[in-house]
Amino acid sequence: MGHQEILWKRPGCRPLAEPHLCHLHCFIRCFIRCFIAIGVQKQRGKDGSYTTYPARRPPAPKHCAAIPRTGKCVYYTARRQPEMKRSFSMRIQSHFCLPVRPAFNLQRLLSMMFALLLSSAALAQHNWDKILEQARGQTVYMTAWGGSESVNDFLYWAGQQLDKNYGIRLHHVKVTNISSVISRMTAESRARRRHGGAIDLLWINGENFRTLYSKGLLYAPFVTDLPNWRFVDAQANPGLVNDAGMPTEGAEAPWGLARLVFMYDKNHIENPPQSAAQLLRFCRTHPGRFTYPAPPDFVGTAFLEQLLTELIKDPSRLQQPTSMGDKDFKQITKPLWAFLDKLHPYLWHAGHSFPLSSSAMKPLLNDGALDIAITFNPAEATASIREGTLPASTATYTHASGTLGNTHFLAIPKNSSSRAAALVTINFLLSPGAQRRKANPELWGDPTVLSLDRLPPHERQAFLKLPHNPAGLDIEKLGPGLPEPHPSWARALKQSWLQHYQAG
Amino acid sequence: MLAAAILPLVGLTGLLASLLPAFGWSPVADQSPLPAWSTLTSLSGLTQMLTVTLITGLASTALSLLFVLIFACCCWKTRLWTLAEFTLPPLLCIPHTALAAGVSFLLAPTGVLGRLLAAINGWEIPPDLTTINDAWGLSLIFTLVLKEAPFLALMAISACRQIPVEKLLVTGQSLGYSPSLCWVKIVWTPLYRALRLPVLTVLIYSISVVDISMMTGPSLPPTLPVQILLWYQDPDLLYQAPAAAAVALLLVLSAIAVLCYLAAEKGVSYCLQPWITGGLRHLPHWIFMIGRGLWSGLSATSLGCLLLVALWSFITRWPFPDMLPCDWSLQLWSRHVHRLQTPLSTTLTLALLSTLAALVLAVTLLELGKYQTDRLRKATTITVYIPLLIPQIALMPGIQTLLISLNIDGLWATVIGCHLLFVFPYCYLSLAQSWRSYDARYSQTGHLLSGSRLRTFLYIKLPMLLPCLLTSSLLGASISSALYLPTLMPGAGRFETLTTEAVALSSGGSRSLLALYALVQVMPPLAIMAMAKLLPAALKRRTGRPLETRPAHKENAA
Repeated sequence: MGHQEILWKRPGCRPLAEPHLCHLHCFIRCFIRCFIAIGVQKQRGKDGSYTTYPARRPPAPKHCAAIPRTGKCVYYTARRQPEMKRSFSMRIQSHFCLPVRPAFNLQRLLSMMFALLLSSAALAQHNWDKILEQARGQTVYMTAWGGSESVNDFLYWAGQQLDKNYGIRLHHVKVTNISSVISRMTAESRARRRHGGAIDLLWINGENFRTLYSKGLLYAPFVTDLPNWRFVDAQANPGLVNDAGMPTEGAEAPWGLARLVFMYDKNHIENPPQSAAQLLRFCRTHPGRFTYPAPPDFVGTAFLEQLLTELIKDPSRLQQPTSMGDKDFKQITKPLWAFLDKLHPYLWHAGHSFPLSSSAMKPLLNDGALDIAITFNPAEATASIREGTLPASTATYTHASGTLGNTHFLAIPKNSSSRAAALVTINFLLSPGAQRRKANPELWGDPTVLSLDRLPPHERQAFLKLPHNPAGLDIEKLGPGLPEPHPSWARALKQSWLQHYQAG
Repeated sequence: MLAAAILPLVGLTGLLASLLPAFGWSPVADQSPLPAWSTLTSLSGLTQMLTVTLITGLASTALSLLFVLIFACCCWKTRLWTLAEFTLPPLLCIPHTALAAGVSFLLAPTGVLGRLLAAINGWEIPPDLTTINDAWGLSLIFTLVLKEAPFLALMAISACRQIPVEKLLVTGQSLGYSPSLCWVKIVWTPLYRALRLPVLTVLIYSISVVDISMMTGPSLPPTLPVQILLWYQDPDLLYQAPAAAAVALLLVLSAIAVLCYLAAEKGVSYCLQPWITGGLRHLPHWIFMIGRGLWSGLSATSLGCLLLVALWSFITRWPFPDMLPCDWSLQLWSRHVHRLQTPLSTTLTLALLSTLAALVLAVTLLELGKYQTDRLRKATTITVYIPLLIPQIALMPGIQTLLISLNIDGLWATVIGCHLLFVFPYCYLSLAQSWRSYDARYSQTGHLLSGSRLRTFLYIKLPMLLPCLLTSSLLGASISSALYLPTLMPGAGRFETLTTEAVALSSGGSRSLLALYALVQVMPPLAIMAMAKLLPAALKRRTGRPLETRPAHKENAA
């Protein structure tokens, strides 16, 4: 067995041990290995050797030079080899580090029988091990908005952790607007590129998700395969499996929660407005001190939805689809346009120009050109004060009747070239450790999607010990969350707003 | 020849791929849910949008040209001229977004001017005035002039090396014209002829610019190129067809602008004819003093904006009424410096390789040009110009689709090729002038003595034209390092350059970060500029041969 001993020492390979009853994983692995061994036996070549494909074998790493490369030797796992290029059976062999044995003994048969009785959870664990091993050495190109230092820092840290623990290289492809990805993915699907897509992981939600999912461009379903999914309580919080009123059907994993909040400078105003009506009153007494990002910016559109939800009698209608041509759309949105017509003359620049995005409002708030800025991140103020982009006297508030909340998600394109690594990355980002770091207001402050009572006690304690969110709002102070209207409302409101106000 | 034919061809194919959705064939969406042309024509505020886009383009080009005229007439042989020779190249390396940020920090009610007024009037909160993002695009014109006038001035400086300026001035003065009037009446005509193509480039650029327009342009309605971008970014892919139609409209608008410009050119020359030949030999001196003042003002504003940007990268807090920042630190630099290495090296590699390829191509083409007929040469120049005349926003989505269907996106060669599309025309055009004015008798003598065309070319012509080559490589490198869409789209996000980082970070609204990246973005072109300055001297020392730093126009003129 000399050469098997060498085998065991190779990185990325698991030792082929005889089954011990105390080691459950060994057991399952052994069972499946034997199972495959039987299958592979049929491939015995003319010369009596069992392993095939010597020609396509990747070059041996230096420390493996001692291993004979032909004959009955196993097909070893090559690190950092693109998984897609190998055939299925090769992958299986490489994965299990298969020593192919012609002999078949009773002991192994018994262990097989035992393995068959094992629970599905153990099998899932085994599947996950397989994915982990496939993921090792792969590179994940994650396309995500790159405008925030906190987010970039967090993903940089995640990349370091993934490299250290799983051998995965994470590249953050920073974009200004995630929708630029959609035309790329559609063009790829048009060009019939089923493998080797440019994007492996997407930070996405809302309309972008709807477009991609309805075109069948996302890998689904995957979320329930993630081991860390057990910490997510989707029943208690349906927002985690519904993206803007549309079921996600396992095609995207929730990553964080967002809430429409308002930031203001405590030195400038004492009692910020608590409702749409109060906002109008505030603007009348403080002309030119408030504005909102012009749609099609998504925060601007969300602000319109917020106003609409507050202004109409029956907000439940907003959960059903609509379109600009609908008769009742005009009827329902009438109060909104009336409100905006009254509001606009008192806005910044008298409503003749608007900031192009919510991030363009932050410098204005910082300079005191505005009294209130809008954001979708309840901890934005804390992070901005730390970075120096907002004054230390900044605070956050929401409307008394609640504000729109939504969830942001992670998804995998169907043609990703490193799906396994993307899965491992998402699982890592859902782990209590990563979620805790993300929820830390001193680092990013994005509320977690995990439910605390499902976490092990020490993890729960660690979450409870997270620092306070001084300038932002802690999750319990956010007030009631209003459900996001159906995505078709966002589109109709955008178009309608532009029709009303684009002409200047 | 082949490459020179391929590049415009790629450009045209990309354009075609961008335009096709407007006519019912879409490479991205299966079939367009919105009718292309009726959506475009029913867009509210379309008339104002088109008017503002056209006016800003024409006005900024005309003003930039006027400033160059002022510069040439008033500053020749003054300290301002030498100063311009030194300061303009680094000014040109500054990314557009940084300049726009600088302008908005100068002009905005909370900017430097606003603070000055606040200090005088004792304001606590800034006034709600629309000084930037105004509906008629005045702040956009201001920014564009700050950006384009230095470019045209640099072109004028290099054109002056090809024109026998001294001779013309002497002739003019012997006829009794004052030196400054000599410039206006005599030297300007040949100088303008050399500037015509760059001016047209500036015009097209000003019509189709997206990033500056987003930062300082009108917002309701935005300019047409910004509207195209917003439509391309629509998450539902509903607006692909209207966006393509808008691209076609933008092309038409550019054509209209060019026609307007040519008509204005004819008109102005017709109107000024009597004045030029009218015999007026002196203008009051104060006019030129004002001109000098205007030019110094422009340069100072431009430099001031950049200084402000540089300053911001060290500022953590600078609240409104304060005249001076209250918090300085190197924190931002120390946080980001280790993350700049990869983008910096990618930027440098892309810039160097694409510039090198562009230079080799341009020189080959120019050398072959000797054997071409005049008509063929003209055709070559026009085809080389094609990618410059098409707005980037119109070109890149089509090229991306093309590359994806050929499955060659995300490769170094692809990205370099796409950079070449924009770098090569500039390199070719900046070289063509000097190549044409090169005195062929040097080569003839060299050929007689050495008997080898290749050796003559390598040892005589190339060293003599080295300064021009280096200037052109500087131009190429600064263009390559500032390309955003042509890096992101063909690179499939695999190529992290300073520009892609800077653009992504600027979407977060942090002025300090924007400033930091703007400063770093200047570095690659500056490094190449330093090389351009040092290399001729080093070569001179090594070969021991005196190198002509300027093409010998005196002999040429004689």
